[in-house]
Amino acid sequence: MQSICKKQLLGLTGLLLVGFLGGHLGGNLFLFGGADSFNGYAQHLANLRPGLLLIEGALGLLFITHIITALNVWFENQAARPIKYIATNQNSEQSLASKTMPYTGLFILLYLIWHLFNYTYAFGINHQPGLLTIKLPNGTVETKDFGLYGIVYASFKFSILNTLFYVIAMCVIGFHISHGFASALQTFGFSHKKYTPIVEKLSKLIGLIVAVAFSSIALYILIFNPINAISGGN
Amino acid sequence: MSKTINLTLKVWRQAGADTPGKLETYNATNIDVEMSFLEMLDVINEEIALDDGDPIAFDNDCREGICGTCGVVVNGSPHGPQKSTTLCQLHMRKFNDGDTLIIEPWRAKAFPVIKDLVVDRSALDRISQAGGYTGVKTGQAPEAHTIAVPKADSDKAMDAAACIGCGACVAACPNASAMLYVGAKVSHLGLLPQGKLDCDRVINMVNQMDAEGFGNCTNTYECEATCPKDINVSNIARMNRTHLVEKIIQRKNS
Amino acid sequence: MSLDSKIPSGPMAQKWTKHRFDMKLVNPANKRKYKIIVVGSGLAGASASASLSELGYNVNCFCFQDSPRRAHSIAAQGGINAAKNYPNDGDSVHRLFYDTVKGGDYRSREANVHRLAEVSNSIIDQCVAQGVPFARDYSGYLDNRSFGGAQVSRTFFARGQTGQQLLIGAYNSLNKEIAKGGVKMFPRTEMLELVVIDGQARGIVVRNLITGKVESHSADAVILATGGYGNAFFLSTNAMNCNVTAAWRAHKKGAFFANPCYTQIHPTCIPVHGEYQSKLTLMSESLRNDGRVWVPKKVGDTRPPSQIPENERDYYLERRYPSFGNLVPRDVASRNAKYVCDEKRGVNGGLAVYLDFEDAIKRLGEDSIRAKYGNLFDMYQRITDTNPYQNPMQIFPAIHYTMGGLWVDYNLMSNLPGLHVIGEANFSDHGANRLGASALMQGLADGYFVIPYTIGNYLASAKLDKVDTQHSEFKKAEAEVKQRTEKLLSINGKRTVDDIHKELGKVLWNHCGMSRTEKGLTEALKKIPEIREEFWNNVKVPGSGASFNQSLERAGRVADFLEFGETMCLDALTRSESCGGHFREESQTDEGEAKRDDENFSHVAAWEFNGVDNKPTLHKEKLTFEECLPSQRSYK
Repeated sequence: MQSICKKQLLGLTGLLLVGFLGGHLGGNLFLFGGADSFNGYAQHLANLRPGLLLIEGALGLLFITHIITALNVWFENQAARPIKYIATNQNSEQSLASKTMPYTGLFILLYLIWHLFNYTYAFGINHQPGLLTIKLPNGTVETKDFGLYGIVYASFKFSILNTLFYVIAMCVIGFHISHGFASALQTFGFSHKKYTPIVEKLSKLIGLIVAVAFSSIALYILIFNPINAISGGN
Repeated sequence: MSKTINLTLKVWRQAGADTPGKLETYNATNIDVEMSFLEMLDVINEEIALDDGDPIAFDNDCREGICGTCGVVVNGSPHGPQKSTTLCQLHMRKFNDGDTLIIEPWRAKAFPVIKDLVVDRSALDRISQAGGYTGVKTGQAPEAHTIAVPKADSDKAMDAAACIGCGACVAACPNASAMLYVGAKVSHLGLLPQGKLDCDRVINMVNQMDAEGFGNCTNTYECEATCPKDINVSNIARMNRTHLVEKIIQRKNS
Repeated sequence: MSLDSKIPSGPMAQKWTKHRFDMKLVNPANKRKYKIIVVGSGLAGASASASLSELGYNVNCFCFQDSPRRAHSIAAQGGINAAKNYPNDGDSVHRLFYDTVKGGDYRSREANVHRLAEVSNSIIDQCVAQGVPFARDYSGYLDNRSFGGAQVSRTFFARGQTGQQLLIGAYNSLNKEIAKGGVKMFPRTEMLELVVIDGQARGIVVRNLITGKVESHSADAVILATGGYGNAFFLSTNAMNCNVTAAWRAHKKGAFFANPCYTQIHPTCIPVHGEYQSKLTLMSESLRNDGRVWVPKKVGDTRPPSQIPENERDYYLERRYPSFGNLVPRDVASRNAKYVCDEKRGVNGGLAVYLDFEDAIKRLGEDSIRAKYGNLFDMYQRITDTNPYQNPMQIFPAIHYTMGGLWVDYNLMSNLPGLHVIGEANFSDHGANRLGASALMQGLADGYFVIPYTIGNYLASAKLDKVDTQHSEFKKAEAEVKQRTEKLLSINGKRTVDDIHKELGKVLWNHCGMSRTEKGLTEALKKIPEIREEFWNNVKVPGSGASFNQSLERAGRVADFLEFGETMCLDALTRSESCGGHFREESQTDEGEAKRDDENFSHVAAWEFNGVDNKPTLHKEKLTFEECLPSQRSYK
């Protein structure tokens, strides 16, 4: 495939994945609404099966295409300069985000595997219960299955390391997008004296929103403990 | 008498394409700051020659920033530290007494080293041969005023046509990509009505670019930052979309 | 032998049309059977190669640069003339023809110049169709600017990079033909011998500059498009690698060298700043459209320019030449800069005059000046570290172009059958002085619109036996090249090539530069053989011949300059008149202008080589003027 086509494939899949993240974020925001709200949303999604499988399959294909194309581009780029410079360019104007795309990308891949195992697989396939022990306002302690909400809640509330990894991952994704979004538009040939600087700011803003919004849910649960949970089930 | 400075040069020396190279150290003493960088290398070479050594090979010709022959990487920067300036117009007043300069050739798989700092950039010629022309033969041209060209388009075409083909964009790109060079060519012709005839031009040039072993563009914009002629990355965007359109047309026509 | 210029008969304006009909043609199907060698890939070489290949000939094109796009035509800044008369200011083919003959001080061949003016318009058409982004006005039509030596605006330009844009146009056409297979390109390959078999130019011997390999190439005709010899002076506005080698080696094989003393000094260059200086940088003549040239009135006035009041400035060009003012031709502007500097009125008493934009900036605004000349101003600032928007530029004349070159007839063929010479390398169109923006015109006229016709005439009428590179003449030439290389490498003396080249350059600049005298030239003719002797006994050329060796390349070129320089000085001495760029102090008017001697020197001086240490033989081609009657050139 031609280099430009490859780049456009990478950009297209990237943009679609940003779209997916937007949807995912919308769903995650139900976490603010409590167990019924979030589980209701999850149930609603589950009800879409088997149509959902198609979407999931497409999503998987998106990820795989994005990753394989990115790796291919990266390896080719390494090969295009077999002997590296001895001195580093002091006048480099390259942004850190663009410089680190392959590395942030690989980190996101790691996170994705972790995420799939912890949430998607655990609940959707393994049907693990989401047990939480909560302290009711009247002082009694109760343990019950909160479903997917419980799994998510427990993972943020009762494992600082877990939450930290999640928050870092969200920041990395945001950082990846902060270059990726504008870059994809350039790759499709969008360039305008007035609007390109705006797109570049927008790209950073989208990255920031992704990082902040996803993280805020985890941090909200960790810090505010809205349902007063005292321990997780699993 | 103007000011002089002393420098330590670490220069990439490589006898030929297939021999390994390494950095060699030279002391550049009493360098007049009014000298150009290449005149400084001339002075060093005179000393090396009289000392029975092999002078440092480096490409250069017009020494007024237009032929695109010269270019080495100075401390990691193609054409050295001054913006919008070719190596031949870089003057020693941009350096300080006691500086150490690491001088390397353009590095890219598509630009094999010939000797020392001289590289083979014929890959760029081959890209142009793949489609960088309008196709008009001598004698076929209509009267020059047959087609008026909006000044804005003509100016933009000229901005792109100012490319000197030095290859600094490739040297600066972390991926050794030639997209700025090719993008400039595409814009130069594509913006003018006279250049809009050939619908496969961009595809052909990109195919050649890929075949030469240049890397893929990842929009780091190091090329624009380094380009001595300030060629803008919007030219790359124009190439990207022209390429897409050509692909669609090609599919339709086949 | 007598020189036959082969000028067609008939009225001036019909000569070229008539000649095109009279010339023999090569049948389209037969063109592919002919092979043509083109040496050089500048405007003339690239345009000729592309055009000949389009016709169907097999073309081999050679250049010493790493890419044909880098030939020195690329450095031309100001523009290209054509008689389009778009500004409606009274231009015509005849006026362009007349201005060029007059500008050349009546030392060019009228018929050639008329043809040049005739095809000038087609060049603009051709270039626009190739996508050359000439400057346009807001209505989208092509813009023109004025240049020295003309009172009409006929110069087309692409910012300050006209040469670059025209060359890229020609390079693109060349690429089209390379891709098609009609042209085989040999970059980084230097021509070192011309091969003449049975009196016909049949090939060249080259050195591959990467591997050092010496190779032969045979052909049915050879075209030299190898530029000028300005670098004989060491310091010039030419690129570092410009040289006379190809032309000189052809000269040594019998081609006559015409008017070598006609060199052009460009008035607006950045002054010399030190011994280590490797080249001089030109600031486009177009700057004289808005810049005013001046020096202090008082000798020894070392105040900064801003502190010299208006009434203590001498705008000497405006004072002496009220009608042309700052736009007098190059030779006049240069000579006057020399005069004021000789009077010690140059900047700080040295070798520089001011080119001041203060008035233009006041009148048009800084933005308007930036739009017109921004890149030139930036370049000036990069080199000198001073801001020309605030301080006047300092400029001084420098060697820029050479009107002399190998002698050619109307068909651009030298006296050696089969050897054609185009562009700056020939002598034909500019006489003793070239007008600004005419070099690009001539290079492209020769390549696009003259040689494609005339070479057909040669090929169709010559009897060409089959030869290949196994022929003994090729072997002999290869042996000569190898022997010369070995000799250069074996001297192992104590002086570098550049060191000796600088010494030659100084002798030429002092005695055969802006103004020349019998005494100075006689002295130069004594000194040059001494320097040549020194070179062949004491030069140091490091490295080997069997690899990439830039010192060796330079040594070979300087060796030729050392022979050529002598012929140039001899020509300057023999031509005891002043004309155009050739100014003999003994021959000037009461006002210090060049004074021609039409009775004795209305001829082309073509020199025949007789061996390095022997005096060359002078052949004269008489110049006759039917349309432009010689008069004292006046720009008052």
